[in-house]
Amino acid sequence: MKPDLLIICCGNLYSSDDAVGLHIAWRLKKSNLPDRVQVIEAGTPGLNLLDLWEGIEKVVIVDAVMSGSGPGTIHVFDGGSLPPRDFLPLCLHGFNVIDAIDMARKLGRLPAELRIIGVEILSEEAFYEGLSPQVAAAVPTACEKVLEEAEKMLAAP
Amino acid sequence: MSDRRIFVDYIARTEGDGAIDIVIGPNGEIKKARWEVWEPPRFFEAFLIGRKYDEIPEMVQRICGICPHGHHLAAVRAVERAMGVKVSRQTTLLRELLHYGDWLQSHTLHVYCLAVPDYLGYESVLAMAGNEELLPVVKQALSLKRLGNDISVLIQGNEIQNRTSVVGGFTSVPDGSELRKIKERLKEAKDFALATVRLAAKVASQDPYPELVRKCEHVSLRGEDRYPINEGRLVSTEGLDVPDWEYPEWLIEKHVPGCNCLHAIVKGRDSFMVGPLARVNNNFDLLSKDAQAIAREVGFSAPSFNPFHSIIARGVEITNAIDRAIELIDEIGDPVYEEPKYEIKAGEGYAVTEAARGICCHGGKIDKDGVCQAWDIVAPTSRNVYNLEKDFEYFVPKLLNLSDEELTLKCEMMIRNYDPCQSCATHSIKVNLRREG
Repeated sequence: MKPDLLIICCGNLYSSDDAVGLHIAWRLKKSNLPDRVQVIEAGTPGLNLLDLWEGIEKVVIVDAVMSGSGPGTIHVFDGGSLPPRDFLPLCLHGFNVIDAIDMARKLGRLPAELRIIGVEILSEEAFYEGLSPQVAAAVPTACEKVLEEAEKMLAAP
Repeated sequence: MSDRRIFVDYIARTEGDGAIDIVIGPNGEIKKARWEVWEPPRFFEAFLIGRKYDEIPEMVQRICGICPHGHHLAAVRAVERAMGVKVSRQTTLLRELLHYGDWLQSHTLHVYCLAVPDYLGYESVLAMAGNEELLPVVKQALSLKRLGNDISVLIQGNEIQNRTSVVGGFTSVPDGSELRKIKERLKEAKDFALATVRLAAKVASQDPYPELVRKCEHVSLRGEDRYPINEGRLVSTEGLDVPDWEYPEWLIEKHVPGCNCLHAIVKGRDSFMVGPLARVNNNFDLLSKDAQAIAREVGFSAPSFNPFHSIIARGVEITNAIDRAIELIDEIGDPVYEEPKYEIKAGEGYAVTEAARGICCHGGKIDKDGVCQAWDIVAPTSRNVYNLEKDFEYFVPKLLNLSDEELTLKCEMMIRNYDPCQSCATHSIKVNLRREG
């Protein structure tokens, strides 16, 4: 059975703060999720994002963002107001979440409702496990924001 | 008079991490032509020591997310050789089908997302999809890639890291009716495969690619009665013809003065190429009838020593993969579960598979308790590094009239011809071109 709403959490566990999406996924999984909401840890999905949300109308993506704001800042974007592509980390083949959304739009495979929750990070140093303190501190707030957006999306017809 | 230098510190559209650094002297001579690749398998060889035999294939498939089955199946077969394990015909066929699923997704990804944008002048497949005429092609390519992944999911439960293939066989087998659904989708994909070969031949016929021919030794497996993917003899266009388990003796890595990276050579000879073009050259007669026919139709004749024909070879292999996968599904019918049975024995074993990007070599020693004493891994890309540097040395002087930007792109394409799988956790490659004069 497909969920009504899918939360796709992105990040590389071994690239320090880039893993923030995964930390959010782990916390969300322990919380009281609304019925028919599913959380998945997607790693660095690239174009696979299109397959992950296939057949699902409401999608929240959680990923790291580097826009120049303070570390731990939480951004909310929707399908109509995407951030510039270089705000988000690269995935395989230089394809990131924004590219995948762009491709999905061209292919007519965008979910009806889409939100992106971005957490501003400090470092994406490779081969380093663990979050910077400012980013780690933002995880609970980011989870609340994700759930708040999810509730709003579920309440809408 | 100064050097002209081509330096790319971030080559997009390859798997993993590497850099190009080329220095051209005032008279157009190549002073330096280096492709630097970070090689993760070394760590695997070290930490496999002391692990149990059945963990080896589990672990080595994690070397790479693009060709996991090439590594996995080479390691499975090497362990089976070391311990004298025989497997059933059904297992052999399922393994072949599993690996063809991998080829379909890898080749389709390479042709449409990584290579064709270069030839058509797009920055990426994303930009290509912005062209209304090309959008349906991108859609079909993604759906063929999906089909490759679905074959993998059906046989082993995952798109990438396998869950069911083990030493001695499979821990579960797919349902025959599900296999037949895949067969219908393969039949539907056939026309697109043929169109892929035509497109590949068309883009590779643009100037200056047809002129860029360099004869070098092409090494691959050679199937006994079918196109090689999981087994065969180790052969080359220069007459090498030995059992695959003898690879450590014939394919040698040597240090070259003034260079930090190991260079792979055929014993007593020079650098060599592995991958789809080498396979097609060494096994043209074993391709499916339709794959041979479409290759002829587009004017491809084996052996070809034009590395820019690799994209055509990939298209031909996509066609062959579809035909062969259909045959395999017919022959497998309704698979039945067979319990993997064998005894743990001490032994030494080596085996070679054809990963999508070339021969993938594994092997080592197992003790009487089934514990790994030594393990050797040589991924296809490391075989190609030295040969690619020779491509640079030979082709760059022919392209000196190009602007730095154009020449850099051509150098990147020379790398992408090999569809390198430098598989590692970071994403960057560098190209560095410097001209003197």
